[in-house]
Amino acid sequence: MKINLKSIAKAIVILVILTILPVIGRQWIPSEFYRAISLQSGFNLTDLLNRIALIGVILSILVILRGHVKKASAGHLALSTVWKIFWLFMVFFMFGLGHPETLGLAALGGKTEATENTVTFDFRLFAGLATVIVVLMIVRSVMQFQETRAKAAIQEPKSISNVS
Amino acid sequence: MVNRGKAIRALKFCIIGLILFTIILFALSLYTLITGLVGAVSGGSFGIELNKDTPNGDWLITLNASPRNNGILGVRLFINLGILNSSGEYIAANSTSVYIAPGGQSPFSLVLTIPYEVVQQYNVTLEQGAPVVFELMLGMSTLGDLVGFTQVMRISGEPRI
Repeated sequence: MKINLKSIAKAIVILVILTILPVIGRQWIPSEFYRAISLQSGFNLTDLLNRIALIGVILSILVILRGHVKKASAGHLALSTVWKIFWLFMVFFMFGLGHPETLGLAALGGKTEATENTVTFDFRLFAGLATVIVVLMIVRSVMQFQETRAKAAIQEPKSISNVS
Repeated sequence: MVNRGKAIRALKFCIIGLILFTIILFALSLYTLITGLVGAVSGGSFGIELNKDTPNGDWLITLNASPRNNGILGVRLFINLGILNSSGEYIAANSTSVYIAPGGQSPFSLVLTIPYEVVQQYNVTLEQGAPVVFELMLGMSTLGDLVGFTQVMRISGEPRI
């Protein structure tokens, strides 16, 4: 198997930005900042950084795998589908402010002694539109794969007859 | 095969169009919500009055608002005022919603009546100590209520220790 240096370089850059920086960089964030963010917005910054680091690892693996499969292969189609679904997951991750399971609902809030403040953003319309886009992209990939296969099947007997 | 090729190309343009549509819609709605919120809460467009001197002893909390929408799309503003007991049940609540056209202004008033019996039962005063929670819910939505946000603010009469 030929090693794709370009994809490895891309994976390293992603790993550095999304995984290594958030993991190492958190020690320089003052603890007061963590406390203030958590109290005022109900945001668990450590949890968010861990999730981003995990995304970085998955993204790097996907980039490396994509760089090492043949374009017209079934493996490429499968990887391309996984890649698109992962991007949809990232869209949900952003709309949910680190919580993709909310499917486009982002909640922020904090409590002090006697007051409580919660803000919920509803971006489910865009989460739905993103899902439609990804489904269409997957359908297009499958159609492209089928077309490439059909072209290859037509060209193969021609090349055999030319040789004979 | 030619048909499939055409379908793939058509799908490609459809996807590009949908992506652009989504981005434009997202930018428009976000801009409308931000400008709508700024117009709704700035420049003294909200005011709350308390009237305890009613003939039957009821307390009246009146919210007078004159929100303005400086956005490109119309917005719907939803407001709920409520008083909850310590179990989280509403003992008094009232809500209203107004549609504000782009560049328009919609003045409105919302009156929350706290019955005299409730004032007595829960020992409601203007100072802290009453076992009740005052709730103000502000919601703003656009694109036919498909995109928006809701803010819930609760102030407890009994501070947590």
